[in-house]
Amino acid sequence: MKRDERRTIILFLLPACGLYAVLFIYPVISSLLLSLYDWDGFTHRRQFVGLGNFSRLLGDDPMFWTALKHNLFLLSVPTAIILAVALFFAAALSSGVRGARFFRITYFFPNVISMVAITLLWFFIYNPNFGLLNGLLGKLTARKVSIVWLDPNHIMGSLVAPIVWCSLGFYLVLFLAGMENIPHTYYDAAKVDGANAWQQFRNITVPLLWDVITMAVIFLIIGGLRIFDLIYVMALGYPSEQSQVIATYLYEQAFNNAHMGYGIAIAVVLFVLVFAATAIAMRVMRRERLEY
Amino acid sequence: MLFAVRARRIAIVGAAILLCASGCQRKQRIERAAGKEIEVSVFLGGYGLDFFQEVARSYERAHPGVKVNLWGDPRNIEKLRPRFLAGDPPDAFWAFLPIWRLADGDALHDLDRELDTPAYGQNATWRESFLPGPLSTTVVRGKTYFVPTDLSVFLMWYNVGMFRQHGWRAPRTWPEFAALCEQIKGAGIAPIAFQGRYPDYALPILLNLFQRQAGERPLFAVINLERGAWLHPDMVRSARRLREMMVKGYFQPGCMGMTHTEAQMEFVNGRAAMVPCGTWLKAEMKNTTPRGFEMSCFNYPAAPGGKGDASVAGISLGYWCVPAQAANIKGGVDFLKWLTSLDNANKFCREKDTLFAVKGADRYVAKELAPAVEVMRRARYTWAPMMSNWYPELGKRIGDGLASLMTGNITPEQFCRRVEEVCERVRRDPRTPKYSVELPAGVAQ
Repeated sequence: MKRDERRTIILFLLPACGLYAVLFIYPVISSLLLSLYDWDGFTHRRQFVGLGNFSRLLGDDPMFWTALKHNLFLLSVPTAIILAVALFFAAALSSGVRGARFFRITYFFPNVISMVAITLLWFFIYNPNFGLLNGLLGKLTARKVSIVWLDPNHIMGSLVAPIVWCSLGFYLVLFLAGMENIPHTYYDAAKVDGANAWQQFRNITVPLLWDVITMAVIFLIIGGLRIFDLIYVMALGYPSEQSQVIATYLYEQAFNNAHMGYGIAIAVVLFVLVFAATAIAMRVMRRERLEY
Repeated sequence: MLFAVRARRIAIVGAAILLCASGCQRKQRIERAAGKEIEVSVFLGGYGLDFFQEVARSYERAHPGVKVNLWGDPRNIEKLRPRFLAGDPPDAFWAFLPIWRLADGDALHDLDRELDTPAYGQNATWRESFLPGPLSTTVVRGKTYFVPTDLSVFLMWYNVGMFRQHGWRAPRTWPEFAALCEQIKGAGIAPIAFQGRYPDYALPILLNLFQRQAGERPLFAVINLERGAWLHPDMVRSARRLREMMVKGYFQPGCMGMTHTEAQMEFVNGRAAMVPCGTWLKAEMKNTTPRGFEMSCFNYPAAPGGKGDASVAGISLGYWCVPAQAANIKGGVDFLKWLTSLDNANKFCREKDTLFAVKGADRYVAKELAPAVEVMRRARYTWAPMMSNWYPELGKRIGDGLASLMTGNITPEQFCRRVEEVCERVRRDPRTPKYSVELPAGVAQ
């Protein structure tokens, strides 16, 4: 490569690198630094506390652990349901069921609606007085049902349905695209050998789809740990200790309680958690790559 | 070539716009510093902006040559935060900012000197024009950093028509209140609607129960975060009574899933006979209250044999401040003085169906609020649950605890222990400045 060419390349790369440095690297580094301070976020009065925010968070803050527990619940239960249901529907749709195109669009539809709108929709479904769910249960049981789905006793369970509903379509389309890439000759050969539908699914579809499933699991883990909008809107901006997750706790500490430094420390811990969980998932789900 | 020319033009226009914007901002700041302009930021909530705009125009008429640049936003807190950090806050503001922390960080102007100057249109100082109870809540470390404006009294509201039809009367004691709830239940009506999605609506009920039973000193110990205050036997008893109200079906079934407006709709539509709320209820439900619906209110009843004064009332307040770094501090303070003049306070009460923390500002209040005015007149003193303002985390955990208590997830003893633990965490937290209010003068220690 000539010297002039290299200079041109550097010149063209500079604006992008500059923007990346200003919009990403600088905020990340300054966040890391601010997490070492006790700062209210309104005034310039800051006090260096070193790792004090982190030791307080991990050693003396029961709400953080409660929030993490809720994140783990919202990470595991919906993930299991979404994976099972999306794989099942994808397998059914790829087997050439009638109206597959219609179902694909229908399932994907919630993905084009904003999370806030979805939350408001479910908010009405769960309304104890005129909600769809209590109405349906009332029709089925022939008596007035007034279960308070969003009270402290039920809220975590009630959050699973909207998460599954709005995420299912995306993973369905993802799996469907993966399944369509699997050569049909494998299934034909299996059929000749007498394999039933379940055996074909277990021994052909799942192994050949493993990379896509791994990616889906990683997306779901990241989504489960970073979840914010659904909880925040469902709890009317007031997540209780029964529905608090790490991101809402971060918001509460940084903006409502004027502990900006502490809130940033929570954000740093959340970043580490997401990074670690992703790395662990990739490690656990690593399989020998199948070429086809 | 053409692209380069266009890009250059866009860059020139962009730079011109930026220069113009920064120039306008600079000009505005110069005008403010010269006292020719006052910038005021208002939280745009239930009270709207119209009243404040009218006050701004009347100020301009009374002070020729001065322009009031008043703007409102439901999230003005988001706009004020960077302006505080940039050292260019407005000259006066009303926002749900942690103003006690701002006062502690020297970010607010100390109003004490101006409070001792004459009030607008009155033969009294600005300080003397305020109700003493509300003004006492604005003192931080001996200095007054904000002024109270709109005032709400926590009361129990009732459906006048329903009470008249069944011959029910406002109770004077807690046993009478329980008997009334039984009668209402017997008539097939839910006695109390409740805003369960915001469980801290139950805090005034709990603290009133506690104050009536235990007296004034233990109540102020709770407010001032004194060690063991939440473990007082009367606090446990009060929490138990609150839980019993739920168990006995005094609160409407399903209320823990209702927002404030949903619960209040149940009340104005006659499906519940009473609702606990501040005096903002009438204004808040103005557009949804059916024609002919009559509401009135009563203060929380007395506890027979209790040590507390039954005239005492719980209140909440709105606060206005002047930032210490404002370009026009003098103008900001003067605008606040104008806003809290007796004339404007009376206008506010008339237009917004609420009360105001200024003496005598009850001339035009709506008839529904007349009992609230009477409560304020009779009250030996007032208290505000300041600990929830000072320590938002504590306020939040108290709300969580109240929800758990009312739904039966925890016992009254566990509730009190849990809140006391949170108080202890706040007390031990070196990051959080501590605040307190003094016991009102003449109240038994």
